[in-house]
This record gives sequence, structure tokens and C-alpha cells, in this order.
Amino acid sequence: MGRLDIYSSGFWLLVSIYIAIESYRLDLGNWHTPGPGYFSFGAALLLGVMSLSVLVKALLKPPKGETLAVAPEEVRWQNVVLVLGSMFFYVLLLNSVGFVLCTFLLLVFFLLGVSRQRCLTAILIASLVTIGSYIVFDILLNAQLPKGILGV
Amino acid sequence: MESFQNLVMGLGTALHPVNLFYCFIGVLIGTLTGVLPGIGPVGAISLLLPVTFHVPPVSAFIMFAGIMYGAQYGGSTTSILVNIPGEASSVITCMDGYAMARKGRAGPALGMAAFASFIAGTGTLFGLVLIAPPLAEFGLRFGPPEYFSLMVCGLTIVVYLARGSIAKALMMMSFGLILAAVGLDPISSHPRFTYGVLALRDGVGLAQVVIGLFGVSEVLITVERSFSRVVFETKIKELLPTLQDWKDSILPVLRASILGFFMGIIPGISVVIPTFVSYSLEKKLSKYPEKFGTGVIEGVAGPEAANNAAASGTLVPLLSLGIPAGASSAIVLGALMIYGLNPGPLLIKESPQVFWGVIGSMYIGNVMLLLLNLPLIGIWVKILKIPYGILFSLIILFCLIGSYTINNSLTDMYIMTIFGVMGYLMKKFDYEATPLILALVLGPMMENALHRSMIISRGGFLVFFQRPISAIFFGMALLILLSSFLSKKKLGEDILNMEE
Repeated sequence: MGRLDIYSSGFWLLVSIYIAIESYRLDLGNWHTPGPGYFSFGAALLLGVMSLSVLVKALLKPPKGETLAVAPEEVRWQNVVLVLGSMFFYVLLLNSVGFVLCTFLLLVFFLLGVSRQRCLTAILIASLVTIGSYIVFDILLNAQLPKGILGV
Repeated sequence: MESFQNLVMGLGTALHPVNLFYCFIGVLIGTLTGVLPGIGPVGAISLLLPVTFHVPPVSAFIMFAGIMYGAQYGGSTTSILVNIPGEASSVITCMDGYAMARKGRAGPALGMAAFASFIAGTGTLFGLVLIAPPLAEFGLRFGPPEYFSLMVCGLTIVVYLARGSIAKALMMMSFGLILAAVGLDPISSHPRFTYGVLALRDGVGLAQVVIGLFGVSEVLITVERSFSRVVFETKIKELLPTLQDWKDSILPVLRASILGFFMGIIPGISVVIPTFVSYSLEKKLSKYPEKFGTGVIEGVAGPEAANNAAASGTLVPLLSLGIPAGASSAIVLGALMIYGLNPGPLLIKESPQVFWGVIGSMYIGNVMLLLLNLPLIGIWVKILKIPYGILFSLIILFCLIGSYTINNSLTDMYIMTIFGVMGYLMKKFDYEATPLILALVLGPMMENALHRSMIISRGGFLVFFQRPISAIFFGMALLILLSSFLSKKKLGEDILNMEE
């Protein structure tokens, strides 16, 4: 995990420094009457010390090679990016486009773009799941999902 | 005698048609989440949490308990038939369960898994009835220092049991505590780390974090690999184990029930560790240890009893002290607070219908599971055959809807997605999510207890060592931490080796 540990512990070290500074600004109070930043300051301190220990250990030990669960060449990064990207777009458009249309489009995109289903299968599954989830969540469970341009 | 009367009252509550319905839904969803890899009981409870806001607390709790122990039943099906554990607590069942399936004995393996789960699930309820009320009475003696040190002890155990580096587990625990501090300060109401976002004033929602860290990250890890999954084609016949199977299994089931229950009580151990301990124990006690891994029924019966017993055990600290033992009970604890209940030593006294109703429902739920699982195994196998390419899109959709419906807020959906990315990266960089989740749940309680302890002691930290109960918890925490730093080998590492 050598190099990966250097990156990750370095990141957490920066996070801990930032949180510690922000907590200090919030006011630490004193031992008798702790302030709003007291608890997070203590946690940031522990995070910082532990990150530093992992970082130092990783720097002192020469990396033996990467041990990612899946070798980088086997990883389908495009699938991860597509899923995450479409989730962000879904949230972005949900209020304006509405739950029904947005969900249908998301599912068609997943089924065609990520899992490479046939066009007709994708449309059929997306329609069924969209209608089913609308009935369950909006009508039966009264979840008040965004209506959007379709008004349903 | 009083417990017996209360139990009868609880059974009466559980037998109410509405509660029966929620119990059935809970065990059904629990089994389904156990069967399907990628979405566990934690994710399922998080998704259903907003839905239960309109439901009486006792019914919601009955359903959540059903999901918790139902998932233990379902998890074994995938382990035995596909060699893919539906739940982490069924990882060890793969070893002998799948081997039995390959020998044409999938039926008895599935049958014994269900019977062992049933025996452990119902048997350990007696333990729950016997231990939880006196423990709650004892808990009434706890002041803020005792609560603080107990929670420190619970977090230390989680860190100790982390499968990777202790330092990394401590880092995740610290980050969980930082996340718990987001929102209004409990004393001064000063906003902390909210950055003007209104949704953050109430803090980072546990459900959004859990859905992201467990649900979305699991999907991302799976979609980056091949979608193919082979379901072992075998005719499942003769689900009932033979007399010899029973002779071989009954003692392992009883041993695992006791072991799983008591291990489940300890905060942080949860349901996974007892399965590995039970397997090792049975292997050690066996006359033919070399056959373990080749399809011996004890290797299925022990761990399957252990995970169900532990699921009951985790309810002891939750119901009697208000301390969650794992991620699922952490979500249930959050739910109890949302319903306006007071989880802790007073729960049994203030809301007896909730406590005893849940206990009563667990008897009924276990019977339902036994009746449900054996005839429905064929259906679970068919569900397993749904291509993951389709299944993942459903899981992502439910994660999105689940996070939205908590507060009807798009911000919650963004938070959930961000934690999905974080969970994915944590898996890549070998960081565990459990210490983070438990710290996020315990954080506000810990901060409160720490504040009050400091006020009581006028700022003196010695208060944690001057009070005997608190000193014992702190002493245990220190011992655990010291032992893990001094010895190179930890229980978590042993388990990781066994999994491999």
C-alpha cells in the first residue's frame, strides 16, 4: 500500500490541519466549560497524529508494489465515471425535469450506456421500474417526489 | 415472572395485525437484502427510514429488527449456491456451504442454515429477555463519565477489530467524530462547519452517509469489474437435513448460539466476527478438522447460528443502554431518537410496549423466516439470476430515492453521492467504514457526556478514573489499545487471513 498510503495519509493530514484551525476559530473554551470547537479540535488532533504516523511509516518503508483489489488495467474506470456523473446530473435535474422523466432517463442511460442491454430491453425495464417506483414511493408512501415538467 | 408477563404483553403487541404485517415486510426485505450482494441490512434500513416516519414507532422498530435478523438468513443462500456471500456475516459459510452444494448437498446445507438460524434466533431471545432489563437497571447508575467511557470502550473495540491498520481505523473514527460535530453546538447553538448550508445545521445525516458509504460504494466497486456472475446450477432437493446431519450439527449450533449472543453484546463486534470464531472453534473441536472446507455440515451450522445469535445480542446494548453495537443498530438508534423515544436505560420503563413488542415480534419473525425461507429458496435463486447490469441500476435508484425522501432535500442526495465516492475511495485505499459510522452515531452522545462530565468535575479529567465503572471501561479501552499496538497480530488480521 506504500504509495497509496502516502497519498491518502497526506490528504487526511491536510484535512486534520484544516479542521483544527477551524475548530480553534470556533473557540475551544476551557476545561471547565468547553467551547463549540473543543470536541472537533480533539478529533482533528487524533486524526492528524494518526495520519502523520501512517505517512511516516509509508515514507520510511519502500513500496513493495500496488495492492489494489483490482489491477488498474482491469478496472473499468469509465463505468465508475458514468455512474457517478449520471447520479450528479440526476440530482441536478430532478427538481426541474421531475421524478418520472428523470428516473426513466437515468435508468435508460444505465442500462444502455453502462450495462449494454438491448435498446428495447432497456426501455421496457426503465419504464416498468419508473412506474413501479412512482407508485410505491409517491402514491403509496406519499414521499412527495418532484413533479417537474410533466406535472406528475 | 414479571419478565414472563411482559413477554406475553409483547407477544400481544407483536400479534397485532399491523405489527404482523410490518414484521413480515421486515423479514422479507431482510432476506432479500441478505440474498442480494451489494445491499445489506444497513442500506435497507437507511432506505426505509424515511418511509417509517408515518408509522407507529413499535411497528417501525419491529420491521427494522426483522431486517436485521432476516438478512442473516438470506446471506447464507448466496454463500451456498453462488459462493458469493450476500452478507459479510456469511463469508465463512461459503467454505463448507458451497463445497456441500458442489457435492449435490445444497438442499441440506440450505435447510440446516435455516434451522440453525431459527434455533439461534429464538433461543437467544431468552438471553435478551434475561439480560437486557437488569442491564438497563444497572445502566441507571451510569452518569455522564460512565457513558463517555463506555462509548470510548466501544469505539476502541471497533478500532481493534478493524481488518487493516489500527492507525487507519483510528483516523476513520476521528473523522466520524468530526462529522458528528457538524451542525449546531448543543450548548451554545453556534453553527459548526455548516458553511451556510441550511441542511447541515441539523448535522450530517447518518442515513445519507450509510447509504453512500455502503450502498453506492459497493455498486461502484462492482461496476468497475465484470458484470458476469455464475449461479451454480444444481437441483435443490431434500431440504430437510438427515438425522446424521442433525447429530453432527446440534452441538455446534448450541455452542455458536451462546458464543454469538455474548459476542454480539459487546459494542463493535457485531455479527461478522462471531461467525469466524465459531468456525475456528468447531474446527478445533472436530474429530476431523482436516475435512473442514470440503463440505462438512458443522461448517455451515455453526457460523449460521452464530450470526443470528449475534444479531439478537446486538440488541442488548441498544435496548438497555442506548449504545449501538454495529452499523445497523446505529441506524435503528437514530430512528428511535427521531420517533421521540428515549433509547437508553429508561426505554424499557418508559416504552415497555416497544421493547417487549420487538422481543415478541422476533419470535414470530423467526417462525416466519423458517416458513418463508425453505419454500422460497427457488425464488431467491431466480432473483440471484437477475443480471447485475440491471440490478445495480435499481440499487442506485433506491439509494437516490432513499436519501431524498429523508427530508425531501436535494442536498441530502448530494451528500449521499459524495459519501458514495468517499466510500469507493476508502475501499481502494484500504480504509474501513465501520469506525466512521459508529463514531458518527456515538459522537453527539460522547460530546454531550464529555461536556457534562467536565462540568461535574470542574474541568478535571480524573473524573473518568475516579468513578469505578468508568475506570473499568477506560481501563479496558486502554488495555485493548495497548495490546493492539504491542502485539503485531490482531483478531482482525486473523479474520482477514481466513477470508482470503
